[in-house]
This record gives sequence, C-alpha cells and structure tokens, in this order.
Amino acid sequence: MSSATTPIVRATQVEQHFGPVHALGPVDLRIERGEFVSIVGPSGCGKSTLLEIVGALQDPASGTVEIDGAPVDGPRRRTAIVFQESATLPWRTVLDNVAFALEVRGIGRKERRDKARELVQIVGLAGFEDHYPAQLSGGMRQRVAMARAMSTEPDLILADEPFGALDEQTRMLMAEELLRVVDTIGCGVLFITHSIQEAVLLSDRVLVMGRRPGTFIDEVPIDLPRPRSHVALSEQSATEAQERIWAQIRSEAEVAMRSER
Amino acid sequence: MTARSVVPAYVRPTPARVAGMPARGWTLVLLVVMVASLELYARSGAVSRLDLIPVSEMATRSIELLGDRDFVVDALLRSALLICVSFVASALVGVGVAYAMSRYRWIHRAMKPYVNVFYALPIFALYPVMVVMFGTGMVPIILLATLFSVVIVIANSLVGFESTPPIVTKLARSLEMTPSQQLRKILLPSALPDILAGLKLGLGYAIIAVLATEFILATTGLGQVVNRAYNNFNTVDMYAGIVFVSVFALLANLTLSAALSSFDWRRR
Amino acid sequence: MNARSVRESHRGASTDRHPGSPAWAPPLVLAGLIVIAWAVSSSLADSAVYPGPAEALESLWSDLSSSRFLGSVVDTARVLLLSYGAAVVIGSVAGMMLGLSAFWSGAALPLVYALNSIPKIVLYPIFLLFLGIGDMSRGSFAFVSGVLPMFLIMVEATAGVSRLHLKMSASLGMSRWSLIRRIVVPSVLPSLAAGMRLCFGLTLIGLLLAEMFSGSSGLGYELLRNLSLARVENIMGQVLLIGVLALVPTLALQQLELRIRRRYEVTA
Ligand SMILES: Nc1ncnc2c1ncn2[C@@H]1O[C@H](COP(=O)(O)OP(=O)(O)OP(=O)(O)O)[C@@H](O)[C@H]1O
Ligand SMILES: [Mg+2]
Repeated sequence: MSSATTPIVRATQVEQHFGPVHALGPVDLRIERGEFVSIVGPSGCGKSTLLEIVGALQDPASGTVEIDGAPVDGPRRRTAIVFQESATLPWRTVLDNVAFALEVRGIGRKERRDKARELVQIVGLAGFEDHYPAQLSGGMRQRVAMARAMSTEPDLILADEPFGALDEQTRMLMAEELLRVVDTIGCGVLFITHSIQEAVLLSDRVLVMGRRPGTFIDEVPIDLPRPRSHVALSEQSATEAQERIWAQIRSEAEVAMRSER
Repeated sequence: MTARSVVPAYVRPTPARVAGMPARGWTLVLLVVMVASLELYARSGAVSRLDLIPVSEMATRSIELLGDRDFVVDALLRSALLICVSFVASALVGVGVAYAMSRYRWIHRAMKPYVNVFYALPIFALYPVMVVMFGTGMVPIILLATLFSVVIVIANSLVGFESTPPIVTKLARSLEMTPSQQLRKILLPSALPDILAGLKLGLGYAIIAVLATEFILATTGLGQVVNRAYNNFNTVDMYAGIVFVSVFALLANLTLSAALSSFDWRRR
Repeated sequence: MNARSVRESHRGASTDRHPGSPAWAPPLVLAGLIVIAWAVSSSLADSAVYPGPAEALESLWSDLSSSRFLGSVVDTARVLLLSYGAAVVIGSVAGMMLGLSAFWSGAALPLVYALNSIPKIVLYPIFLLFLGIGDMSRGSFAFVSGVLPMFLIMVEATAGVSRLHLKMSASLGMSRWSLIRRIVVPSVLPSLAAGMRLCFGLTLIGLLLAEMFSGSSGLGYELLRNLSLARVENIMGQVLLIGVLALVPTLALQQLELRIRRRYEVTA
C-alpha cells in the first residue's frame, strides 16, 4: 500500500462547519514524504481546523483524509503534533515530559529515559533534565515539545504555530533548529504559521489560504538549496516569494476586515 | 453526525443534544424522575407514613402554611428579618474591614491568617455561649449569623480591593484624588464584581446560620418550626417545613443573584 | 475563572512574604489583644455568665480528666474521621467522573448547586427518622455536609483541565484510563487539596450541629448539656478545645495544599 510514491498526506474535498459557521474548505491537500509544507493565511480562516482534521483531532463535516495511503481512523502512531508552548505538562520534569509519549506507548522506564536523555541533548537542553517547565523560558519549553514529538520517530509532523508565542530572535533560532531536526529524521511536515518569513525559510512549498471559509488561493514553491539558514532569506527568490505571499494575504485581510464591519 | 468518529471521545465537541434533548431538558428530566420516585416510594407502602410522606403532600401542606397567620408572622417574617439584619450588617462590616485590610498593611497581616482558616472553625460552637450571655432571643442569632457571613464577604471584597490594577491607582494619585474620592471613584467600582460575589455568598451563609441556630435552640422561627414538628412526631409538618425552607433559601439566593448581577460590569 | 485563580495564587505568593517582622507575629499580637480584652472585660463585668479565660481553661482542664468527656472527644473524632474520609473519596471520584462529561455536567450541576444552597441542617430530622439517633445518623449527616462541596469543586476542576493537554493526549492515542491517570488527576490535584481543606471544616460543622441537635455523646452534645446545666465556663473551655482541634488539621491541610500548588500549578 505505502510505497515511495504514496503521499504522506492526501486530503480530498475536506470541509468543516461549526453550527452555522462554515469554517473551512472544501480544500485538497497533498504532502509528499519528507516534504515540508507551510500554510499561511489570515486569522480565523481555518488553518488549525485543517491541521486538526489531518491529525484526527476533529472529524471533518465532509471529505476524506488519507495518511500514508490509508484512510484516517484515529490518532496515528507515527504522526506527531507540536502544539503551542504550554503543551508541556507543568508537573513533570523536562526528562519526563520528553519521555511522555514513550511512556504512553508502554516503553519501559529505563529505555524511555535513555532515549529521552539523548533527545534532550539533541535539542540542546542538556543539564536541564530535572527542571520543571515553569523554570524554563518559552523557547526552551518549545524544545521540550519538539523533543517529545521526535521521540516516537514520526514520519509526519503537524505543527500549529509552534513558535507563535516566542519573540522574533528566538523564533528564528527555533526555526533553524526545527530544520536541522527534520532534515535528520526526514519526515513530512505540515507547518502553520503567521510569519511569512518563517514559512519561506522552512518550506518546500507554501500554501496561502484565503479568508473564511478557507480555501487555498495560491501555492508558492520555494526553491532554496538545503540545508538552509536565515541567510537564505536574503536571496532573490526568497524575497520574491515573500512579496508574493504578502500581497495575497493583504488583499484577503482587507476584504475580511471590510466585511466584518 | 456522519460516519463513525475518528476522534478520541474526550476531545470531541460537546454535543448540543443527547437523545434529541438539550442539557436543560435533561436537568428537568432528572428533577422529575427524582421527585416522582420519591412520591412513588412514599405511596408504595414500603415506608411508614411516620418516616416519609409523598412529595405532593409536602407541597400542599407547605402552601397551606402560607395561609397560617402564626406561621407567617412568627416564623417566616421573623426569620426573614433576622436574615436581612445579619446580611446587611455583615455586608457593611465586611466591606469596611476588607477596605481597612487593603489600606493598612498591619491590619492585613494580623487578620489574613484568621480569614483563611475561619470556615474550618465550627463557629456554631459559640452559639451556646451567646445564648447564655444574651438569652434565647434575636440577639445571639443575629450575632452568630453576622459573624458567620461576614468573613466570606471580607475574603471576597479583599480580592476585589487588591486586584485593582496598579496603573489605576497610579492614575488616581496623579490626579491628586483624596482617599475618599479614590475609594468612591476607583476602588469600589473596580472591586465591585468581587464584592458582589462575596455578598451573594454572604446571603447564603446568613440564611444557613439563622436557620441552623433557630433549629438548634430558639423559641420560634423557620428552623424551629421544623425542629418542633420533628419532636412532636408531626411528620407532615416537618416535611412541609423542610420543603418551605429549601424553596425559601433557593428563591432568596436566586433573587439576590439576579439583583446583584445587574450591577456587575464584568458581565455586561 | 481560570485567569482569576491564577491571578490569586500569584498574589498569594507575593503578599505572603513581607520584609521585617516574621509573618506569624501580627496575628499572634491580635490573638493576644483579644485574650486580654476578654480577661479585662470579664473581670470588670464580674458576672456568673461571663467567665474569663483563666476560668475557662481551668474548667477545660477538669473536663479533660473526666472519662465521659474524653469519650465524647474520641466519639466525635472517630465519626468525623470516617465521614470526612468518605466525603473526600466519594466526592472527588464522583466529581471527576461527572466532570469528564461536559454535557452531563451541564445537565446535572444546576440540581446539585440548588441542593447545596439549601441550609442542610433542616434536613437532619430526615436522617434521624431513617437512621435513628446515633453514629449512623450524625455521621451520614456530616458526610452529606462535606461531600456536596467536594463534589462540586472536583466537577469544576475536571471540567477545567487544559484543552491543550487533552488534545496532546488524544494525539498520542491515550486511552481514557491512561488520560485520567496521567493528565486529569495531576491537573486536579491543587483543587483536590483545596477541596479537602474546605470539606474538613464543613464536615466538622455538620457533625457538631448534628450532635448539638440530638445525640448521646460527642462534643456538640457536651456543649448543649453544659448549656442546660448553665455551666458557662465549661462551654467556653470546650469551645477553645474545639477551635484547637479544628485548627491543627486545617493548618496541616493548608501546608499540603501549598506544596501541591507549588509543584502542580506552576504555569508560566
Ligand atoms: N470548536 C469550534 N466551535 C465553533 N467555531 C469554531 C470552533 N473552532 C473554530 N471555529 C471557527 O472556525 C473558524 C476557523 O478557526 P481556526 O481555529 O481553524 O482558524 P485559524 O486559521 O487557525 O485562525 P488563527 O490563525 O487565529 O489560529 C474560526 O472562525 C473559528 O471561530
Ligand atoms: Mg489557529
């Protein structure tokens, strides 16, 4: 069933309604294995809704989602979701937070702690194993969440504005960190962000979503060599892509603001 | 709902209806089922009429009580009066003490620990002391009910006074307002929602205290009506009194909540 | 609601520490002042119904050497422990179960809140009718006094478990049981601790009221017996004893709550 050419995500004609609110779609979404796809769009257009449908945290009103060639039938072992910052458990230490996903899967204490220790090293938190989340900065907490997501060796990561609560500099650093991690494990990524810069820096493809009910109004391929760093953002093709996305979003946002009045 | 859900049950959205009925409907169903089973149980003959009477009889008799002049004047009005007096007293004293605590740090430090543990102390143990000192009249009841309800008013008002944003206090100082102006124009309005919450609770506590003291030891009053009926083996009047008191307490709480909510700017 | 409790705990942490004299000094000074006022006023009044602190302590001392009184203390403590334990366990488990379902919480809570606002003491005769005078009836009544608030606190706490944490658990495919053990229980621990403190005071009040109304032993019964014998200094001494007996577990529970909050409630 799953071969090298089956996309990791294929969503067809997905739509969502909340009572009278038509929140999303219909949209089609295709992500190849190992591909990094970002979605940008005005606030409230349905980005999180789409991500949650792909992650089996919401049932779509209509449409189908296939992951790795099989229809979604519940949260999937090899899909990892990275939420915004406070998805760390405040009563667990860094190490136990990172080991949480493994613990839930019934991995033995010794094994999961060894693995977690390794991951803590990888995300640069060595020495903080026994700290509690409240003792960490927002960026460090987000690293904990990333380490937890990596612990289950995912082939698909869904990230909903994971750096949304961080300041500009930390965001950039974290984005580079994420790139490094994703490159090492080679998984597909669906990444939602408000930052056009971030989307361009990270993605192979940026999808622009129009105002609610969100549908994709543009698809911008990003042809920058990998591995990338923030330096790549000043290249000609990167600035062009940013301009193009910004123009789309601005016209959408203007219409949305006018119609809300 | 379309096909089977793929979402774990605990993150699914709350359904608006279950079996075609909204939550409010189920509340009513639960209530009716409870009342009906009580009624049936009482009528089934499985329980002596000395222990339990049907709900319908409780209700009829408690409505009859309203026509009884002695009951209305000696019990209902008297208890209502006691509750009102204690409530007003604890509202005034409570807000005053909370203001003093928020203004003077040493008062705050001396009293805060007591406010924290107050409701762990069985304050009703003081009632016999008060009865000895003041007799079985209204005074000990008012004293105890005021004492019992004032602390919850203090605790809540204090939260209100202390959560006035510092920027607002700075603004007041920059406008060179006098302390009384600050209190009336800034502190009171800003603390109002918490004070109102405290007052609602305070009324509940006053009601509990008045009825409990009357019930334990008093010459008359709503609580005493239940006590006397129990001691006279008058089960019908006892249940009627209980129903009456329950409805009375519920209505009083609901009325005050509705009245106070209209002042609450946080809910507008 | 959530924002508010966070705000309160934050303020609690900041106002608890002041420079200068230690935190226990001002409340002790206040207590000392009250005792002095009591002593002076009673010696001025020089009345048989208003004994001073020395007489109260003296009579308490002689009470404590009477085996009947000690039996009453032990009785009250035993019944209290049982009913408190039952109220905490049943209230918290049932509350958590209901809190997990938002729909059924919405349906059932209005009824429980209404029930909780009834002055429960007037229901005590029903307990007497069905359970007779003795440990069963006053223990059950104390249990009911404590279990409703415990239940309500736990329903609210469970309903307030972070939606984000629920989503994360769902994304890991956690079973309901695993969710309860790993997410729900740790999240509600601070509320559980607060509920345990509150529940203790309410259970004790319920028990004492029940004993005061009718009993053959227990501290509440001793109070009313002394009242009918007009032994005021004994009443005062026993009130002091009850206060101390209530305060010790409350302070311990407060410490427990503080510890749990430090560990589990630290949201950044
Ligand atoms: N559970 C829900 N119930 C009702 N309406 C909802 C619900 N979840 C989302 N919506 C509505 O659906 C629309 C899309 O929401 P969604 O959260 O997907 O937006 P978003 O694109 O992620 O926005 P943002 O960028 O602000 O996070 C919004 O208008 C929102 O109000
Ligand atoms: Mg969103």
